[in-house]
Amino acid sequence: MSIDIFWRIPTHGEPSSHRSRRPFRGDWFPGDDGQRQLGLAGGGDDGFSYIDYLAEIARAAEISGFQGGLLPSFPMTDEPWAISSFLARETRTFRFMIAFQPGFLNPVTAARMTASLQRATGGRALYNIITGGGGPQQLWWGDCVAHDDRYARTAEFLDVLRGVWSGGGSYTHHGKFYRVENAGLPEILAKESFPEIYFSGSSDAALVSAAKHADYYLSWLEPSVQLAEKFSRVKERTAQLGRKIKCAVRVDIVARATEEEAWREVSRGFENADPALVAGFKGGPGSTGDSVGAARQSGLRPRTLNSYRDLIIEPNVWSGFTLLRGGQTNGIVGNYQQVAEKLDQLVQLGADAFILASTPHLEEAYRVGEEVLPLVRGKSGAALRAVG
Amino acid sequence: MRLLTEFDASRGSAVYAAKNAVSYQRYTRGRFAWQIGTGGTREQRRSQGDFAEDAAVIPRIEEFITVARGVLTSGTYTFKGKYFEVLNGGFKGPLSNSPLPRIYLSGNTAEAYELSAKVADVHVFDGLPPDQLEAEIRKLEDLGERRSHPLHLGLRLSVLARESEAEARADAAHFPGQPVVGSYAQISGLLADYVKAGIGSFILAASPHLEEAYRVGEHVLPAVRRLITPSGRDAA
Repeated sequence: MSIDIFWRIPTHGEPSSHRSRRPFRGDWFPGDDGQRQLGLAGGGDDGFSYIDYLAEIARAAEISGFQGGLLPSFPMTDEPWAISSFLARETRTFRFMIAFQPGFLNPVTAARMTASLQRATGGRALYNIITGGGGPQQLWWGDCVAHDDRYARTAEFLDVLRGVWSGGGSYTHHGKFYRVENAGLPEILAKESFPEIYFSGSSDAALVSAAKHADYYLSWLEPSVQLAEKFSRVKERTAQLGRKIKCAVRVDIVARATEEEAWREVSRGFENADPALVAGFKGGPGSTGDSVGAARQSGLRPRTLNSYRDLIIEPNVWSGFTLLRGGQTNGIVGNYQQVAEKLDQLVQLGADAFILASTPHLEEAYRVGEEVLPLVRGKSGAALRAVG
Repeated sequence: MRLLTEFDASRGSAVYAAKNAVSYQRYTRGRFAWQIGTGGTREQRRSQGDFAEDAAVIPRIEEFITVARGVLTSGTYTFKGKYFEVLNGGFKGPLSNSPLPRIYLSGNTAEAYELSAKVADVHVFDGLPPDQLEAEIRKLEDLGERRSHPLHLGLRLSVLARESEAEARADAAHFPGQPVVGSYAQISGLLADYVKAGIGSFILAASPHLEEAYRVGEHVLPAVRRLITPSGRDAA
C-alpha cells in the first residue's frame, strides 16, 4: 500500500534558507509592512509577482513526485482558493489541499466553490479542515464561536456540505449553526467527486469530529509514544462508528547528504534566530489561543536553552523549528537515509500520508523528491521507487 | 480583462471574502471586481443557507462592504455590527494596501439606490429603454450628490445583433430569453444612446458567448466607439 506524500506551498513567503530569516523571497518582509521587493533585478517592479514563484514550487514538487501541496490558511497567508485557481493552470496532476475553517464560508458557498474547482481541475481539490486555534486569532477572522462549540460547528458544517453536494437538490437542515432549505448544487457540479478530508485538531472535541468525518486524521509531529497513542485513539473512535480513518503527519525536514551538514544548517539557523524569540521559547505555553495541539508541543520545551542541541527531543527530531519560521515546532533533521527511516518509523506508528516541507521550498522539493522519497520504504517494506 | 465576480453577502465571513480578493488583486494586478447581489427571493436565499429577513438584506450588504474595506485599508481594524464582527483585524505585510475590489451593485428600489449612492463604485441597471432609464438615473444622481467620489453607471444587457434587422429577427425566434434584437447599426445606435444617457459600463451577453464575443467585438463595439467619439474617429 502506498503512502501519499504532499509538499507545502509557502503562501506566507519564505527566506532563502533555514539559516537566516532574510533575505525573504517575493514581497514578504516579516515585521516590515512598508517594504516591498517585487523582484531581484534592482528591486523595481519587473512584472513578476509571488505567484510566479509559487508556481515554480508547485511544478518542482509535481515533477519530483509529490502528490500535491498544502495551501495553509493563516492571517498572513495568501488565500488558498485563489492560489489554487492560479496554480491549476500551471500543473497537471498536482492536488490542492486547501486549509479551511468552517467559519470562513457558509457551507452552500463552500460546496459550490469546491465543486467548481473540482470541475475545472479534474478533481484535484481536497481539504485540510482546521477548526481554528482560538483566542484573538479567531476574532481576527471575525469568528467568535467558543472552542468546543467550534468543533460541533465543524461537524455540522461537514454534514451540511455533504447534504448540499449529494442530497439531490432538495437538502434541508435546521441545526444549531446552519439552516438550509431545498439546497443543492446544479447537476453539472453535483456529479463532481466530494473532496477528501484531512482533519486537524488534537482536543477530544476534535477527535470526535474527525472520527465522524475525516478521511485522514492529520497531526503535527509529536514524540513517538505520544503520536502512536493519538493515532490509536482516533482509529479506535472511528472504528466504534463503523468507519475507517487513515492518519497523516505534517512535518518540516532538514535533509542533507550527511547528518553533520543537516545539523549545521539547524545550528546556523538557531544562531541567527531572533534573541527575543529564543528567550521566550523556554518552557511553558507559548500561545494565547486555546489550541491543544500547540500546547502539546510547547509543553515539551526545555527550561534551559543554550544550544540548538537542547532542543533535540528524540534522535533526528529537533523541536526548535518555530525559531526559524512560523508553524509547528517539531521537525526531522538528518542525512537522507535517516530522514527516510524516520518517516518509515512514523508509517509503523500508523501514518498513511505525509505533508512535508523544507526551506526553501523550491530547491528542497527537488532535493527531498530526488534524495529522500526514493529511500522511504512505506508499508510494503520495499522502497517506493528505485534509488538513482 | 477585468473579472467581475458575483456573490451575495450571505457567502460567509466578510474578512475571508476580502482575503480572497487580496490574493486575486495581487496576482491579477488589480483586475478583480465584486458584483454583490441580494440573493433573490426568500426561498432562493434559504436554499443558499441564508435565513436573513427581507429587511436585513440591504443593511447586511452595507456592513459586508464596510468590514471588507476596513480590513483592507487598516492594520488594526475592530468592528462590531449586526451581522459581522472583527477584533484587531486587518491585513498586514504584502497583503496590506491592496485596492478594494471595484464594487458593482444592482437593484431598482429606493433602498437599493440609497445603498449604491453610499457604497458602490458602479450601479448596474437592468435593461430599460434609454428614455425610461434617464428618469432612474436622475433619482440615483440626486442621492449621489453627497458622495466624495463619483458613482459610475452600468447596464446589463443581452443582445442579438446581425448584419440586417431581418436576419436578427429570424434568429431571435430560436433563442429563449429576451435580448434586444437588431442590426449591427441599430444595436450600436442603442448602446450609443445609453452612453449619452450616462452609462459608462456595459455588461453584455449573447449566446453562444464565444462566437458572439467576436461578433459584438468586431461589428458592434467599433461602431459604438465611433458614435461616442466627438471627432467621429475610432477611439479604439
